[in-house]
Amino acid sequence: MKLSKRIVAAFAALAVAGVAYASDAYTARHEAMEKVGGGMGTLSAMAKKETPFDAAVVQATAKTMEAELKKAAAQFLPDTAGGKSRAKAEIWTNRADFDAMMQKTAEALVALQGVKDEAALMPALRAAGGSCRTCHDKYRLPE
Amino acid sequence: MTRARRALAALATLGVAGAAAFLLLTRPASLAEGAVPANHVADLRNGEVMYHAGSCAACHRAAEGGPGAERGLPAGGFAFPTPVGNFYPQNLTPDPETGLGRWSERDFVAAMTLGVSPAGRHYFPAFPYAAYRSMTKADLLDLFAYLRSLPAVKAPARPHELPLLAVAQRGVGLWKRLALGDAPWSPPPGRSPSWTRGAYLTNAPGHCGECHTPKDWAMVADESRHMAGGPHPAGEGKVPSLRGLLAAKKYKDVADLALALSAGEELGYENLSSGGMAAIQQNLARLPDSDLQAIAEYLLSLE
Ligand code: HEC
Ligand code: HEC
Ligand code: HEC
Repeated sequence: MKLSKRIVAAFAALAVAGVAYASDAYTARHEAMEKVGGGMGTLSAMAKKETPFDAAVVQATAKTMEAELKKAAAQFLPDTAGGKSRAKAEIWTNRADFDAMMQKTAEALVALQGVKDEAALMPALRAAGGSCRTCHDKYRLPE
Repeated sequence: MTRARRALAALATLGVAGAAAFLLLTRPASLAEGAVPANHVADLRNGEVMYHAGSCAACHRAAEGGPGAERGLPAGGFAFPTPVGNFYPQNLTPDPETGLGRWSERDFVAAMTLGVSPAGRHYFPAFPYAAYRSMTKADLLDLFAYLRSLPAVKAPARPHELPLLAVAQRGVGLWKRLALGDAPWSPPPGRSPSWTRGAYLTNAPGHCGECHTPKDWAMVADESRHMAGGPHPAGEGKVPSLRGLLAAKKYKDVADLALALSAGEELGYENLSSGGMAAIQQNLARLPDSDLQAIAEYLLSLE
Protein backbone atom coordinates (compact mmCIF):
# COMPACT_ATOMS: atom_id res chain seq x y z
CA MET A 1 0.00 0.00 0.00
CA LYS A 2 1.11 3.52 -0.71
CA LEU A 3 1.64 5.74 2.31
CA SER A 4 -1.32 7.98 1.49
CA LYS A 5 -3.59 4.94 1.12
CA ARG A 6 -2.36 3.58 4.39
CA ILE A 7 -3.13 6.86 6.13
CA VAL A 8 -6.63 6.94 4.68
CA ALA A 9 -7.21 3.36 5.77
CA ALA A 10 -5.99 4.15 9.27
CA PHE A 11 -8.37 7.11 9.53
CA ALA A 12 -11.27 5.03 8.25
CA ALA A 13 -10.54 2.35 10.83
CA LEU A 14 -10.41 4.97 13.57
CA ALA A 15 -13.72 6.46 12.46
CA VAL A 16 -15.40 3.06 12.40
CA ALA A 17 -13.93 2.28 15.82
CA GLY A 18 -15.30 5.59 17.09
CA VAL A 19 -18.79 4.79 15.89
CA ALA A 20 -18.55 1.29 17.34
CA TYR A 21 -17.38 2.71 20.67
CA ALA A 22 -20.35 5.08 20.85
CA SER A 23 -22.90 2.49 19.78
CA ASP A 24 -21.47 -0.23 22.07
CA ALA A 25 -21.71 2.11 25.05
CA TYR A 26 -25.23 3.11 24.05
CA THR A 27 -26.38 -0.50 23.55
CA ALA A 28 -24.83 -1.65 26.82
CA ARG A 29 -26.40 1.06 28.94
CA HIS A 30 -29.70 0.86 27.10
CA GLU A 31 -29.97 -2.87 27.77
CA ALA A 32 -28.95 -2.45 31.40
CA MET A 33 -31.45 0.39 31.95
CA GLU A 34 -34.21 -1.71 30.37
CA LYS A 35 -33.46 -4.44 32.94
CA VAL A 36 -33.64 -1.88 35.75
CA GLY A 37 -37.00 -0.83 34.31
CA GLY A 38 -38.12 -4.47 34.15
CA GLY A 39 -37.41 -4.90 37.86
CA MET A 40 -39.38 -1.77 38.57
CA GLY A 41 -42.35 -3.34 36.73
CA THR A 42 -42.17 -6.53 38.80
CA LEU A 43 -42.04 -4.65 42.09
CA SER A 44 -44.70 -2.10 41.26
CA ALA A 45 -47.10 -4.92 40.32
CA MET A 46 -46.43 -6.31 43.80
CA ALA A 47 -46.85 -2.93 45.49
CA LYS A 48 -50.17 -2.48 43.66
CA LYS A 49 -51.18 -5.94 44.95
CA GLU A 50 -51.55 -7.35 41.45
CA THR A 51 -49.12 -10.10 42.51
CA PRO A 52 -48.65 -11.54 46.02
CA PHE A 53 -46.01 -10.07 48.32
CA ASP A 54 -42.82 -12.13 48.55
CA ALA A 55 -39.84 -10.71 50.47
CA ALA A 56 -37.39 -13.06 48.71
CA VAL A 57 -38.51 -11.80 45.27
CA VAL A 58 -38.22 -8.19 46.44
CA GLN A 59 -34.71 -8.80 47.65
CA ALA A 60 -33.53 -10.61 44.53
CA THR A 61 -35.19 -8.15 42.13
CA ALA A 62 -33.81 -5.08 43.88
CA LYS A 63 -30.36 -6.65 43.94
CA THR A 64 -30.43 -7.25 40.18
CA MET A 65 -31.67 -3.68 39.66
CA GLU A 66 -28.76 -2.34 41.69
CA ALA A 67 -26.24 -4.38 39.68
CA GLU A 68 -27.77 -3.39 36.32
CA LEU A 69 -27.91 0.29 37.31
CA LYS A 70 -24.20 0.17 38.14
CA LYS A 71 -23.51 -1.48 34.77
CA ALA A 72 -25.45 1.26 33.01
CA ALA A 73 -23.67 3.97 35.03
CA ALA A 74 -20.29 2.67 33.83
CA GLN A 75 -21.33 3.01 30.18
CA PHE A 76 -21.83 6.80 30.08
CA LEU A 77 -18.46 7.17 28.38
CA PRO A 78 -17.39 10.56 26.99
CA ASP A 79 -18.75 11.48 23.53
CA THR A 80 -21.43 8.81 23.42
CA ALA A 81 -24.48 11.08 23.21
CA GLY A 82 -26.41 11.60 19.95
CA GLY A 83 -27.89 9.11 17.49
CA LYS A 84 -30.50 6.89 19.09
CA SER A 85 -29.30 7.79 22.57
CA ARG A 86 -31.54 9.81 24.85
CA ALA A 87 -28.62 10.92 27.01
CA LYS A 88 -28.39 14.71 27.37
CA ALA A 89 -25.06 16.39 26.68
CA GLU A 90 -25.26 17.98 30.17
CA ILE A 91 -24.30 14.59 31.67
CA TRP A 92 -20.75 15.27 30.60
CA THR A 93 -20.69 18.91 31.75
CA ASN A 94 -22.26 18.10 35.17
CA ARG A 95 -20.62 14.76 35.69
CA ALA A 96 -20.33 14.99 39.49
CA ASP A 97 -24.05 15.75 39.86
CA PHE A 98 -24.97 12.87 37.51
CA ASP A 99 -22.74 10.42 39.39
CA ALA A 100 -24.17 11.55 42.74
CA MET A 101 -27.69 10.80 41.44
CA MET A 102 -26.59 7.32 40.36
CA GLN A 103 -25.11 6.77 43.81
CA LYS A 104 -28.27 7.98 45.57
CA THR A 105 -30.43 5.70 43.42
CA ALA A 106 -28.16 2.71 44.11
CA GLU A 107 -28.55 3.40 47.85
CA ALA A 108 -32.34 3.52 47.50
CA LEU A 109 -32.16 0.13 45.74
CA VAL A 110 -30.08 -1.25 48.61
CA ALA A 111 -32.74 -0.03 51.07
CA LEU A 112 -35.36 -1.75 48.92
CA GLN A 113 -33.51 -5.07 49.28
CA GLY A 114 -34.11 -4.87 53.03
CA VAL A 115 -37.92 -4.75 52.77
CA LYS A 116 -39.35 -7.56 54.94
CA ASP A 117 -43.08 -6.80 55.09
CA GLU A 118 -45.74 -5.68 52.66
CA ALA A 119 -46.39 -2.31 54.33
CA ALA A 120 -42.76 -1.27 53.87
CA LEU A 121 -42.68 -2.06 50.13
CA MET A 122 -44.70 0.89 48.83
CA PRO A 123 -42.69 3.69 50.52
CA ALA A 124 -39.31 2.07 49.71
CA LEU A 125 -40.28 1.51 46.08
CA ARG A 126 -41.59 5.05 45.67
CA ALA A 127 -38.39 6.47 47.12
CA ALA A 128 -36.27 4.47 44.64
CA GLY A 129 -38.57 5.25 41.70
CA GLY A 130 -38.57 8.94 42.61
CA SER A 131 -34.81 9.04 42.26
CA CYS A 132 -35.01 7.43 38.78
CA ARG A 133 -37.41 10.27 37.90
CA THR A 134 -35.07 12.98 39.19
CA CYS A 135 -32.34 11.86 36.82
CA HIS A 136 -34.60 11.17 33.82
CA ASP A 137 -36.05 14.66 34.30
CA LYS A 138 -32.68 16.34 34.24
CA TYR A 139 -30.47 14.13 32.07
CA ARG A 140 -32.67 12.10 29.70
CA LEU A 141 -34.23 13.48 26.54
CA PRO A 142 -37.80 12.62 25.61
CA GLU A 143 -37.89 9.85 22.97
CA MET B 1 -38.43 65.29 -8.51
CA THR B 2 -36.32 62.78 -10.40
CA ARG B 3 -37.63 59.27 -10.89
CA ALA B 4 -35.28 57.86 -8.36
CA ARG B 5 -36.35 60.42 -5.79
CA ARG B 6 -40.00 59.74 -6.48
CA ALA B 7 -39.48 56.01 -6.06
CA LEU B 8 -37.69 56.62 -2.78
CA ALA B 9 -40.47 58.86 -1.52
CA ALA B 10 -43.05 56.22 -2.44
CA LEU B 11 -41.06 53.57 -0.62
CA ALA B 12 -40.72 55.79 2.43
CA THR B 13 -44.50 56.38 2.47
CA LEU B 14 -45.08 52.64 2.19
CA GLY B 15 -42.57 52.06 4.98
CA VAL B 16 -44.36 54.50 7.25
CA ALA B 17 -47.74 52.99 6.38
CA GLY B 18 -46.33 49.50 6.97
CA ALA B 19 -44.89 50.48 10.31
CA ALA B 20 -48.17 52.13 11.31
CA ALA B 21 -50.11 49.02 10.29
CA PHE B 22 -47.64 46.86 12.21
CA LEU B 23 -48.05 48.98 15.32
CA LEU B 24 -51.84 48.96 14.98
CA LEU B 25 -52.01 45.21 14.39
CA THR B 26 -49.69 44.50 17.29
CA ARG B 27 -51.26 46.89 19.81
CA PRO B 28 -51.77 45.19 23.18
CA ALA B 29 -55.46 44.62 23.91
CA SER B 30 -57.10 45.62 27.17
CA LEU B 31 -59.89 44.01 29.15
CA ALA B 32 -63.49 45.08 28.48
CA GLU B 33 -65.38 46.90 31.23
CA GLY B 34 -67.08 44.38 33.49
CA ALA B 35 -64.78 41.54 32.36
CA VAL B 36 -63.88 40.92 36.01
CA PRO B 37 -66.87 40.19 38.24
CA ALA B 38 -67.00 42.54 41.26
CA ASN B 39 -67.29 41.16 44.82
CA HIS B 40 -66.08 37.65 44.03
CA VAL B 41 -65.84 35.62 47.23
CA ALA B 42 -62.61 33.68 46.87
CA ASP B 43 -62.38 29.93 47.51
CA LEU B 44 -58.74 29.37 48.46
CA ARG B 45 -59.03 25.58 48.28
CA ASN B 46 -60.19 25.83 44.68
CA GLY B 47 -57.42 28.37 44.00
CA GLU B 48 -54.87 25.84 45.21
CA VAL B 49 -56.35 23.15 42.93
CA MET B 50 -56.03 25.54 39.97
CA TYR B 51 -52.44 26.34 40.97
CA HIS B 52 -51.47 22.66 40.83
CA ALA B 53 -53.61 21.87 37.78
CA GLY B 54 -51.84 24.76 35.98
CA SER B 55 -48.38 23.62 37.14
CA CYS B 56 -47.53 27.27 37.86
CA ALA B 57 -44.68 26.11 40.09
CA ALA B 58 -43.11 24.09 37.25
CA CYS B 59 -42.04 27.29 35.46
CA HIS B 60 -42.14 29.88 38.26
CA ARG B 61 -40.15 27.82 40.77
CA ALA B 62 -37.24 29.44 42.56
CA ALA B 63 -33.69 28.98 41.28
CA GLU B 64 -31.83 26.11 42.97
CA GLY B 65 -30.80 27.53 46.34
CA GLY B 66 -32.44 30.90 45.54
CA PRO B 67 -34.94 32.79 47.74
CA GLY B 68 -38.10 30.71 48.33
CA ALA B 69 -36.54 27.47 47.00
CA GLU B 70 -36.53 25.54 50.28
CA ARG B 71 -40.25 26.24 50.81
CA GLY B 72 -41.14 25.38 47.20
CA LEU B 73 -42.57 28.87 46.58
CA PRO B 74 -43.10 30.24 43.04
CA ALA B 75 -40.55 33.04 43.53
CA GLY B 76 -39.08 32.70 40.02
CA GLY B 77 -35.44 32.50 39.00
CA PHE B 78 -35.43 29.00 37.47
CA ALA B 79 -34.53 29.06 33.77
CA PHE B 80 -37.18 27.99 31.26
CA PRO B 81 -35.25 27.09 28.09
CA THR B 82 -36.72 27.54 24.60
CA PRO B 83 -35.06 27.45 21.16
CA VAL B 84 -35.03 31.29 21.11
CA GLY B 85 -33.34 31.66 24.49
CA ASN B 86 -33.86 31.30 28.23
CA PHE B 87 -36.89 32.79 29.97
CA TYR B 88 -36.92 33.53 33.69
CA PRO B 89 -40.62 33.40 34.69
CA GLN B 90 -41.21 36.06 37.36
CA ASN B 91 -41.98 35.97 41.09
CA LEU B 92 -45.66 35.10 41.72
CA THR B 93 -45.57 35.59 45.50
CA PRO B 94 -47.28 38.70 46.92
CA ASP B 95 -44.12 40.75 47.54
CA PRO B 96 -45.07 44.37 46.64
CA GLU B 97 -41.72 45.27 45.00
CA THR B 98 -40.73 42.08 43.19
CA GLY B 99 -43.91 39.99 43.05
CA LEU B 100 -47.65 40.40 42.48
CA GLY B 101 -48.26 42.41 45.70
CA ARG B 102 -49.48 45.53 43.92
CA TRP B 103 -51.47 43.75 41.23
CA SER B 104 -55.26 44.12 41.01
CA GLU B 105 -57.60 41.28 40.08
CA ARG B 106 -57.99 43.04 36.75
CA ASP B 107 -54.22 43.04 36.14
CA PHE B 108 -54.11 39.32 36.84
CA VAL B 109 -57.05 38.43 34.60
CA ALA B 110 -55.57 40.54 31.77
CA ALA B 111 -52.23 38.72 32.11
CA MET B 112 -53.84 35.27 32.16
CA THR B 113 -56.38 35.81 29.38
CA LEU B 114 -54.84 38.42 27.05
CA GLY B 115 -51.15 37.93 27.79
CA VAL B 116 -50.77 41.64 28.54
CA SER B 117 -48.84 43.11 31.49
CA PRO B 118 -50.16 45.87 33.78
CA ALA B 119 -47.89 48.29 31.83
CA GLY B 120 -49.40 47.13 28.53
CA ARG B 121 -46.58 44.93 27.26
CA HIS B 122 -47.19 41.64 25.39
CA TYR B 123 -46.04 38.60 27.32
CA PHE B 124 -44.23 35.98 25.28
CA PRO B 125 -46.33 32.88 24.63
CA ALA B 126 -43.84 30.76 26.59
CA PHE B 127 -46.28 31.85 29.33
CA PRO B 128 -49.16 29.56 28.28
CA TYR B 129 -51.97 32.14 28.40
CA ALA B 130 -53.31 30.70 25.11
CA ALA B 131 -54.59 27.87 27.35
CA TYR B 132 -55.18 29.78 30.60
CA ARG B 133 -57.52 32.21 28.82
CA SER B 134 -60.06 29.36 28.70
CA MET B 135 -60.25 29.20 32.51
CA THR B 136 -63.44 30.50 34.12
CA LYS B 137 -63.29 33.93 35.77
CA ALA B 138 -64.17 32.35 39.12
CA ASP B 139 -61.24 29.92 38.86
CA LEU B 140 -58.86 32.74 37.87
CA LEU B 141 -59.93 34.91 40.80
CA ASP B 142 -59.62 31.96 43.22
CA LEU B 143 -56.15 31.27 41.84
CA PHE B 144 -55.16 34.91 42.31
CA ALA B 145 -56.46 34.85 45.91
CA TYR B 146 -54.45 31.68 46.53
CA LEU B 147 -51.24 33.29 45.18
CA ARG B 148 -51.89 36.30 47.46
CA SER B 149 -52.20 33.96 50.43
CA LEU B 150 -48.65 32.59 49.94
CA PRO B 151 -45.74 33.99 51.98
CA ALA B 152 -44.15 36.98 50.19
CA VAL B 153 -40.60 36.38 48.94
CA LYS B 154 -38.31 39.19 47.82
CA ALA B 155 -36.85 37.96 44.54
CA PRO B 156 -36.33 40.47 41.72
CA ALA B 157 -37.01 39.02 38.27
CA ARG B 158 -33.97 38.04 36.26
CA PRO B 159 -34.12 39.48 32.71
CA HIS B 160 -34.94 36.96 29.97
CA GLU B 161 -31.95 35.99 27.84
CA LEU B 162 -33.41 36.58 24.39
CA PRO B 163 -31.61 38.12 21.48
CA LEU B 164 -33.81 40.64 19.56
CA LEU B 165 -36.01 41.06 22.62
CA ALA B 166 -37.69 44.34 21.66
CA VAL B 167 -38.60 43.40 18.06
CA ALA B 168 -39.81 39.98 19.12
CA GLN B 169 -41.94 41.49 21.85
CA ARG B 170 -44.01 43.57 19.46
CA GLY B 171 -44.16 40.68 16.99
CA VAL B 172 -46.02 38.71 19.65
CA GLY B 173 -48.95 40.99 18.86
CA LEU B 174 -49.14 39.50 15.34
CA TRP B 175 -48.90 35.96 16.70
CA LYS B 176 -51.78 36.68 19.08
CA ARG B 177 -54.03 37.64 16.14
CA LEU B 178 -53.62 34.08 14.85
CA ALA B 179 -53.41 32.18 18.12
CA LEU B 180 -56.02 34.04 20.18
CA GLY B 181 -58.28 34.97 17.29
CA ASP B 182 -60.95 32.38 18.01
CA ALA B 183 -63.11 32.30 21.12
CA PRO B 184 -61.50 30.60 24.12
CA TRP B 185 -61.96 26.83 24.31
CA SER B 186 -65.00 25.57 26.19
CA PRO B 187 -66.08 22.00 26.90
CA PRO B 188 -68.52 20.51 24.37
CA PRO B 189 -72.00 19.93 25.84
CA GLY B 190 -73.68 16.61 26.50
CA ARG B 191 -70.89 14.65 28.23
CA SER B 192 -70.76 13.30 31.78
CA PRO B 193 -69.78 15.73 34.57
CA SER B 194 -66.46 13.96 35.19
CA TRP B 195 -65.51 13.84 31.47
CA THR B 196 -66.36 17.56 31.23
CA ARG B 197 -64.27 18.31 34.32
CA GLY B 198 -61.37 16.31 32.88
CA ALA B 199 -61.59 18.08 29.51
CA TYR B 200 -61.58 21.45 31.27
CA LEU B 201 -58.63 20.63 33.54
CA THR B 202 -56.62 19.25 30.62
CA ASN B 203 -57.27 22.02 28.11
CA ALA B 204 -57.62 25.17 30.26
CA PRO B 205 -55.43 25.20 33.40
CA GLY B 206 -53.56 21.99 32.50
CA HIS B 207 -52.24 23.46 29.19
CA CYS B 208 -51.33 19.88 28.19
CA GLY B 209 -51.68 20.80 24.50
CA GLU B 210 -48.78 23.25 24.81
CA CYS B 211 -46.53 20.22 24.40
CA HIS B 212 -48.83 17.38 23.29
CA THR B 213 -50.56 19.23 20.40
CA PRO B 214 -48.22 19.92 17.46
CA LYS B 215 -47.88 23.48 16.18
CA ASP B 216 -48.36 24.77 12.63
CA TRP B 217 -45.99 27.03 10.63
CA ALA B 218 -47.01 30.07 12.68
CA MET B 219 -46.35 28.31 16.00
CA VAL B 220 -50.09 28.11 16.64
CA ALA B 221 -51.52 24.85 18.03
CA ASP B 222 -52.90 22.71 15.18
CA GLU B 223 -56.19 21.64 16.75
CA SER B 224 -56.91 19.22 13.90
CA ARG B 225 -54.15 17.17 15.55
CA HIS B 226 -55.28 17.78 19.14
CA MET B 227 -52.94 15.93 21.58
CA ALA B 228 -51.46 13.89 18.71
CA GLY B 229 -47.86 14.53 19.81
CA GLY B 230 -44.99 15.99 17.82
CA PRO B 231 -41.61 17.68 18.11
CA HIS B 232 -40.77 18.88 21.62
CA PRO B 233 -41.20 22.67 21.91
CA ALA B 234 -37.82 23.00 23.66
CA GLY B 235 -36.14 21.74 20.48
CA GLU B 236 -34.83 18.22 21.24
CA GLY B 237 -36.76 14.97 21.07
CA LYS B 238 -40.48 14.29 20.69
CA VAL B 239 -43.61 14.54 22.80
CA PRO B 240 -45.76 11.38 22.73
CA SER B 241 -49.34 11.33 21.47
CA LEU B 242 -52.07 11.14 24.10
CA ARG B 243 -54.56 9.71 21.58
CA GLY B 244 -55.31 6.03 21.49
CA LEU B 245 -53.51 5.25 24.76
CA LEU B 246 -55.94 2.37 25.44
CA ALA B 247 -55.63 0.86 21.97
CA ALA B 248 -51.83 1.04 22.27
CA LYS B 249 -52.20 -0.83 25.61
CA LYS B 250 -50.16 1.84 27.40
CA TYR B 251 -52.66 1.97 30.28
CA LYS B 252 -55.21 -0.64 31.33
CA ASP B 253 -58.06 1.64 32.33
CA VAL B 254 -58.98 4.98 33.88
CA ALA B 255 -57.77 3.94 37.34
CA ASP B 256 -54.40 2.86 35.90
CA LEU B 257 -53.82 6.17 34.09
CA ALA B 258 -54.98 8.16 37.13
CA LEU B 259 -52.42 6.28 39.23
CA ALA B 260 -49.75 6.94 36.57
CA LEU B 261 -50.48 10.68 36.74
CA SER B 262 -50.34 10.66 40.51
CA ALA B 263 -47.26 8.45 41.07
CA GLY B 264 -45.34 8.74 37.79
CA GLU B 265 -42.06 6.86 37.83
CA GLU B 266 -42.28 6.27 41.60
CA LEU B 267 -44.43 3.30 40.60
CA GLY B 268 -42.56 2.49 37.42
CA TYR B 269 -44.62 4.60 34.96
CA GLU B 270 -41.48 5.35 33.05
CA ASN B 271 -42.88 7.54 30.24
CA LEU B 272 -43.76 10.49 32.48
CA SER B 273 -40.29 11.71 33.47
CA SER B 274 -38.40 13.45 30.67
CA GLY B 275 -38.86 16.60 28.60
CA GLY B 276 -40.57 18.60 31.35
CA MET B 277 -43.25 15.97 32.07
CA ALA B 278 -41.84 15.15 35.54
CA ALA B 279 -42.65 18.62 36.85
CA ILE B 280 -46.17 18.46 35.39
CA GLN B 281 -46.75 15.00 36.87
CA GLN B 282 -45.54 16.12 40.30
CA ASN B 283 -47.93 19.08 40.21
CA LEU B 284 -50.83 16.87 39.09
CA ALA B 285 -49.99 14.52 41.98
CA ARG B 286 -51.33 17.20 44.32
CA LEU B 287 -54.82 17.24 42.78
CA PRO B 288 -57.76 15.52 44.47
CA ASP B 289 -58.20 11.94 43.30
CA SER B 290 -61.54 12.74 41.64
CA ASP B 291 -59.77 15.30 39.41
CA LEU B 292 -57.07 12.81 38.39
CA GLN B 293 -59.77 10.27 37.53
CA ALA B 294 -61.54 12.96 35.47
CA ILE B 295 -58.38 13.83 33.51
CA ALA B 296 -57.71 10.13 32.90
CA GLU B 297 -61.29 9.56 31.73
CA TYR B 298 -61.02 12.44 29.27
CA LEU B 299 -57.60 11.38 27.93
CA LEU B 300 -58.67 7.78 27.39
CA SER B 301 -61.66 9.00 25.39
CA LEU B 302 -59.30 10.52 22.77
CA GLU B 303 -59.04 7.94 20.01
C1 HEC C 1 -28.24 9.39 37.18
C2 HEC C 1 -29.13 9.23 36.06
C3 HEC C 1 -30.09 8.05 35.96
C4 HEC C 1 -30.65 7.30 36.97
C5 HEC C 1 -30.48 7.46 38.47
C6 HEC C 1 -31.52 6.35 36.33
N1 HEC C 1 -31.47 6.48 34.97
FE1 HEC C 1 -32.53 5.39 33.62
N2 HEC C 1 -31.69 6.47 32.10
C7 HEC C 1 -30.79 7.51 32.25
C8 HEC C 1 -30.39 8.00 30.96
C9 HEC C 1 -29.42 9.16 30.69
C10 HEC C 1 -31.09 7.23 30.01
C11 HEC C 1 -30.97 7.33 28.47
C12 HEC C 1 -29.77 6.52 28.04
C13 HEC C 1 -29.48 6.61 26.56
O1 HEC C 1 -30.45 6.56 25.75
O2 HEC C 1 -28.32 6.72 26.19
C14 HEC C 1 -31.92 6.29 30.76
C15 HEC C 1 -32.79 5.36 30.18
C16 HEC C 1 -33.65 4.54 30.91
C17 HEC C 1 -34.65 3.68 30.33
C18 HEC C 1 -35.03 3.61 28.86
C19 HEC C 1 -34.14 2.77 28.10
C20 HEC C 1 -33.84 3.51 26.85
O3 HEC C 1 -32.66 3.49 26.49
O4 HEC C 1 -34.75 4.12 26.24
C21 HEC C 1 -35.26 2.99 31.35
C22 HEC C 1 -36.37 1.96 31.23
C23 HEC C 1 -34.64 3.44 32.57
N3 HEC C 1 -33.68 4.39 32.28
C24 HEC C 1 -35.00 2.99 33.83
C25 HEC C 1 -34.47 3.47 35.01
C26 HEC C 1 -34.94 3.10 36.34
C27 HEC C 1 -36.11 2.17 36.63
C28 HEC C 1 -34.15 3.78 37.23
C29 HEC C 1 -34.24 3.79 38.75
C30 HEC C 1 -34.18 2.56 39.44
C31 HEC C 1 -33.21 4.58 36.46
N4 HEC C 1 -33.42 4.37 35.13
C32 HEC C 1 -32.28 5.42 37.03
C33 HEC C 1 -30.32 8.01 33.44
C34 HEC C 1 -30.62 7.53 34.70
C1 HEC D 1 -44.59 26.79 30.63
C2 HEC D 1 -44.09 27.74 31.60
C3 HEC D 1 -45.09 28.55 32.42
C4 HEC D 1 -46.13 28.05 33.19
C5 HEC D 1 -46.57 26.62 33.37
C6 HEC D 1 -46.69 29.22 33.84
N1 HEC D 1 -46.02 30.36 33.47
FE1 HEC D 1 -46.42 32.22 34.13
N2 HEC D 1 -44.98 32.94 32.88
C7 HEC D 1 -44.13 32.19 32.11
C8 HEC D 1 -43.20 33.06 31.41
C9 HEC D 1 -42.11 32.61 30.46
C10 HEC D 1 -43.53 34.37 31.80
C11 HEC D 1 -42.84 35.64 31.34
C12 HEC D 1 -43.44 36.15 30.04
C13 HEC D 1 -42.82 37.47 29.61
O1 HEC D 1 -42.14 38.11 30.43
O2 HEC D 1 -43.02 37.86 28.45
C14 HEC D 1 -44.65 34.26 32.73
C15 HEC D 1 -45.28 35.35 33.32
C16 HEC D 1 -46.34 35.26 34.19
C17 HEC D 1 -46.98 36.40 34.81
C18 HEC D 1 -46.56 37.85 34.66
C19 HEC D 1 -45.61 38.18 35.80
C20 HEC D 1 -45.08 39.59 35.82
O3 HEC D 1 -44.43 39.92 36.82
O4 HEC D 1 -45.27 40.34 34.85
C21 HEC D 1 -47.99 35.91 35.61
C22 HEC D 1 -48.95 36.71 36.48
C23 HEC D 1 -47.96 34.47 35.48
N3 HEC D 1 -46.96 34.11 34.61
C24 HEC D 1 -48.83 33.63 36.15
C25 HEC D 1 -48.82 32.25 36.00
C26 HEC D 1 -49.76 31.38 36.69
C27 HEC D 1 -50.81 31.83 37.69
C28 HEC D 1 -49.47 30.11 36.28
C29 HEC D 1 -50.19 28.82 36.61
C30 HEC D 1 -51.61 28.79 36.37
C31 HEC D 1 -48.35 30.21 35.35
N4 HEC D 1 -47.98 31.52 35.22
C32 HEC D 1 -47.75 29.14 34.72
C33 HEC D 1 -44.14 30.82 31.99
C34 HEC D 1 -45.04 29.98 32.61
C1 HEC E 1 -43.55 20.63 28.95
C2 HEC E 1 -44.21 19.82 27.97
C3 HEC E 1 -45.37 18.95 28.46
C4 HEC E 1 -46.55 19.36 29.04
C5 HEC E 1 -47.00 20.78 29.35
C6 HEC E 1 -47.30 18.16 29.27
N1 HEC E 1 -46.60 17.06 28.85
FE1 HEC E 1 -47.16 15.11 29.07
N2 HEC E 1 -45.40 14.50 28.29
C7 HEC E 1 -44.39 15.33 27.83
C8 HEC E 1 -43.26 14.51 27.43
C9 HEC E 1 -41.96 15.04 26.84
C10 HEC E 1 -43.61 13.18 27.67
C11 HEC E 1 -42.71 11.93 27.48
C12 HEC E 1 -41.86 11.77 28.74
C13 HEC E 1 -40.92 10.61 28.76
O1 HEC E 1 -40.79 9.90 27.75
O2 HEC E 1 -40.27 10.38 29.82
C14 HEC E 1 -44.97 13.21 28.20
C15 HEC E 1 -45.68 12.06 28.54
C16 HEC E 1 -46.99 12.07 28.99
C17 HEC E 1 -47.77 10.87 29.24
C18 HEC E 1 -47.31 9.45 29.02
C19 HEC E 1 -47.67 9.01 27.63
C20 HEC E 1 -47.33 7.58 27.34
O3 HEC E 1 -47.08 7.29 26.15
O4 HEC E 1 -47.33 6.76 28.25
C21 HEC E 1 -49.00 11.30 29.68
C22 HEC E 1 -50.18 10.40 30.07
C23 HEC E 1 -48.99 12.73 29.70
N3 HEC E 1 -47.75 13.17 29.27
C24 HEC E 1 -50.05 13.51 30.12
C25 HEC E 1 -50.00 14.90 30.20
C26 HEC E 1 -51.04 15.71 30.78
C27 HEC E 1 -52.35 15.18 31.34
C28 HEC E 1 -50.62 17.00 30.71
C29 HEC E 1 -51.33 18.25 31.19
C30 HEC E 1 -51.79 18.27 32.57
C31 HEC E 1 -49.30 17.00 30.09
N4 HEC E 1 -48.96 15.71 29.80
C32 HEC E 1 -48.56 18.14 29.85
C33 HEC E 1 -44.43 16.71 27.78
C34 HEC E 1 -45.41 17.51 28.34
